[in-house]
Amino acid sequence: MKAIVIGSGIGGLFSAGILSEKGYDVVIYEKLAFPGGRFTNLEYRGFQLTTGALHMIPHGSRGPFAGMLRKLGADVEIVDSAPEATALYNGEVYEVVSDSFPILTVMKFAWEVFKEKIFRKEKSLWDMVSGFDPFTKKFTRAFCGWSLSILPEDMPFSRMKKIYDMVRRYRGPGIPIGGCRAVIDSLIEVLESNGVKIFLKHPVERIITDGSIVRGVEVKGERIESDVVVSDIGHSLTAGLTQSEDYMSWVENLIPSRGIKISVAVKEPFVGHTGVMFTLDTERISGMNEVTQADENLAPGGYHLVMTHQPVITSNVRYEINLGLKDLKKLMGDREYEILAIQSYSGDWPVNRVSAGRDVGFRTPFENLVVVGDGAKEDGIEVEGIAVGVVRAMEEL
Amino acid sequence: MLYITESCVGCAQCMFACRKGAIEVEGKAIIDNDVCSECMRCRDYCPLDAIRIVSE
Ligand SMILES: Cc1cc2nc3c(=O)[nH]c(=O)nc-3n(C[C@H](O)[C@H](O)[C@H](O)COP(=O)(O)OP(=O)(O)OC[C@H]3O[C@@H](n4cnc5c(N)ncnc54)[C@H](O)[C@@H]3O)c2cc1C
Repeated sequence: MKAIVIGSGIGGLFSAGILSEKGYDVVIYEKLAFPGGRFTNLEYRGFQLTTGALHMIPHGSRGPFAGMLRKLGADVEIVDSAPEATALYNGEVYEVVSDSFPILTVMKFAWEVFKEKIFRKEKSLWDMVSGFDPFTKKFTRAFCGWSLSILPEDMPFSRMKKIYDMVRRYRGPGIPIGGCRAVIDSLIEVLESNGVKIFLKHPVERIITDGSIVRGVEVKGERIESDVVVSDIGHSLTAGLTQSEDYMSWVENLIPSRGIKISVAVKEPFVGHTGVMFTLDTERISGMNEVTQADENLAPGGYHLVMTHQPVITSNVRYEINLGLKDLKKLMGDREYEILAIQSYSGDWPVNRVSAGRDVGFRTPFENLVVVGDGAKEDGIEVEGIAVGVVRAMEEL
Repeated sequence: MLYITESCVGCAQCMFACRKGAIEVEGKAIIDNDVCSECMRCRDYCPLDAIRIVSE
């Protein structure tokens, strides 16, 4: 049996790993000159910046993502963040633990969860927390912006509850030694030893369909047959490659989430720990991390690498960037810092191909074509949701 | 001469790829064609096919 994987992002590589273990002959086609998609390092001025991700695995060594790495035999060392998170609020830094939230809020939360279970009325996360204390409200906003790049107004509460449960179960984030790229390199090593072939600079131009099944793909004008096709490029682009009107109209309304990441060089530590620092006093920036606290080799000697993240709220990206830069200036005060890169994400290179909580699953109108990656996540933050989604999709094939 | 199309979202991967330092990005990429050597490495890093070449 032959499988073709379109795209070498996390979803594509995980799928290739599972399929090759099942005995499939797997070929991956990647359009770009490097593997890993939005989860790998690109070096810039000696700093290990990234294509997308903030070098963080949402549940560190304990979550489904790390579980998948272990299952496939990919050897990655993950430093679990300690503390998991702090919050900068009214100029003071607090460690975020369950005690950080007023007892009244905790009780109100339990009551809201209960009501949601009984009445099953769909509410947004913001509706839910709007009656809470100011710290909890601001923290909720920062958490959504940092972890999901969305506003709490756009997050259905029932889906957030699942993420909340996962955080309780698997705890907070971790940083892979070597950054995102260490994950990609070790996955590729495993895949190659399983006989998987990866072709870089080979964009898939078309998915060849025949009624309700797919026959293969077209790459560089050549027809390549396969028994199954796994697409790691999201539903919208996949639908486009099939040219199926039905599929295209079905996925027409999927909205990606947008975001802006600013990578900053500092000489003195700013965050000072391996976790996330949520920023509650800012206009746009939701939080930041300092990955060199876990792995000093992610920056040249004498420097720390700070990365900030913010969701995009208006349609004017330049305006959003300016607000982010203003926040940064305020946060840094009279410290010395240098901006390395400002990266914005939207459209077909977004933070998430489908906004958190709006995922539509891995199925397509074609029996032997599935979509993986952040265009078809299961509940879970970012790459954790991708890992869970891949398992579901591969069970189905 | 290189130019950037409307599909650029500003992910800056071309800036990281460029060995001449000819690209700056803030919301969108800008290429300094006086510095650019047309090696086309940037195009291999662009996820959105937003970099085009035109002969003068
Ligand atoms: C700013 C930012 C910060 C983030 N931070 C984090 C974080 O800290 N932790 C975390 O867990 N997640 C984070 N994420 C999300 C995470 O990066 C993505 O969810 C994840 O990398 C997406 O993986 P994927 O498998 O969906 O595919 P992608 O990474 O999108 O890979 C798809 C691949 O397919 C290729 N491709 C496209 N079209 C074709 C074609 N026609 N033929 C062949 N190949 C094709 C692309 O070039 C790409 O390599 C962040 C994202 C962004 C943008």
